[in-house]
Amino acid sequence: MTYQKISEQIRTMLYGGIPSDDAAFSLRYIAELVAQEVAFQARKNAFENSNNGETTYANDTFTSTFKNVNVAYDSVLKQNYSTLPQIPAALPNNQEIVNITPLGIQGRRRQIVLMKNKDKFMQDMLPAVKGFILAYIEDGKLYYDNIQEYMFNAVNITMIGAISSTGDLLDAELNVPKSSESEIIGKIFQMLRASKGLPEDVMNDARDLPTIQ
Amino acid sequence: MADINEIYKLVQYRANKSGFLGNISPNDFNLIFPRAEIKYFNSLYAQYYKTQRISDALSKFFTNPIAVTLTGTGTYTTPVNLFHVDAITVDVAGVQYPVKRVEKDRLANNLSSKIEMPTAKFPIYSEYDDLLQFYPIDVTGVKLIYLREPTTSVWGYTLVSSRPVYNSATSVQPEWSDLDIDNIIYLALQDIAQNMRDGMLQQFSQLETQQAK
Repeated sequence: MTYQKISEQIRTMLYGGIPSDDAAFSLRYIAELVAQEVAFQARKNAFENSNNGETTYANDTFTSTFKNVNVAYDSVLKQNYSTLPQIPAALPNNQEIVNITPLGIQGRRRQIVLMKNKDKFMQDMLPAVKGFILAYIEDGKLYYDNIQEYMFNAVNITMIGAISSTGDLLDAELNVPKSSESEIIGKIFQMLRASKGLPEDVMNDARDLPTIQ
Repeated sequence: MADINEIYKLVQYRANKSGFLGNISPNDFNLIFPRAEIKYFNSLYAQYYKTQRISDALSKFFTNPIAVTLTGTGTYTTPVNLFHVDAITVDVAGVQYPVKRVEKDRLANNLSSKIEMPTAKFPIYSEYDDLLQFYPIDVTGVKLIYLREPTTSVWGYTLVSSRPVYNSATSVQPEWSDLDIDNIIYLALQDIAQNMRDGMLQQFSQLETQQAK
């Protein structure tokens, strides 16, 4: 299932069949809503698991890996960072980032440990632990801390509840369990149906509603 | 399909049968019949795609898909016989996508949108006096289907002993099916009745027009 397919499904329901070219809701607009709902479903699923006595991990179907994400250098902060390819869902303790793997480093130091942003100041006061690369999230970026001698130019990042690719959203795979699809469809359909009934202002007259009936 | 000579005779016959005692001259016929055609065309166009019957009647006036070649600024000069743009599509890797019409007052919103911005896969166009403006301006693979105006029917004649005699070589035949010709004849008779102030003919033609609906 792709974002295009689920968006078409919602749009077909909304317009009672294949819509005409006058359809106000485009596939791209619906797909953006779907992406936001996917993140919500990932979070909801994680808490449902938590209620069942498990730790707050979302179902694996919500995960997506972004490969070969570039590592850049911030000359002001004097830190290496990667821009998050997509924004994930919000889970407790930053569990939305499943793992970050630097490319080109072998052995046990292959994993980068994610810390909370607020823990950064404590980390700064401590001597660096050798062989332990840390990272924290800020401004949609992943900043690497304590890199020391380990140089890497790219990382693989696995996240939960994010759009599964950085290309055309409609072509992206919908990374949700099949059981969540109907809920996503239902919620977005209701949302769009509510706004579909509103009168449209077709007159360009600097007034929000038509002055001529 | 009835030719223009048969139609002319039929108009004369029906007018006389309904009590009209005068003669409809070729010049009057050539003036009134094309107007009736346009009137009929407009009445169908007002109910565009509403019924299969209307779609069938108009189907003769739809062009085949025409490959559109754009200028460097993304414009396309519309054909002179264009009455209404029915559909514009774009071919991207063998898949047809719709090119959405955007009205001028919404164009800037589309161009500056982060969701609905025009792309090669989702282009847009606006219609101006004699051209279509496409965005992105370098879009390729565009095809246009449009509703063209009907040709103006003419009862051509030559004068033989000062009397008009039908000449098929100088005539222009109507494009309508027999199903529609009757309706157009009644519309023409209405005009003739009004022009000649013939109450009986007017009543007849109005009744037939109503029944034809």
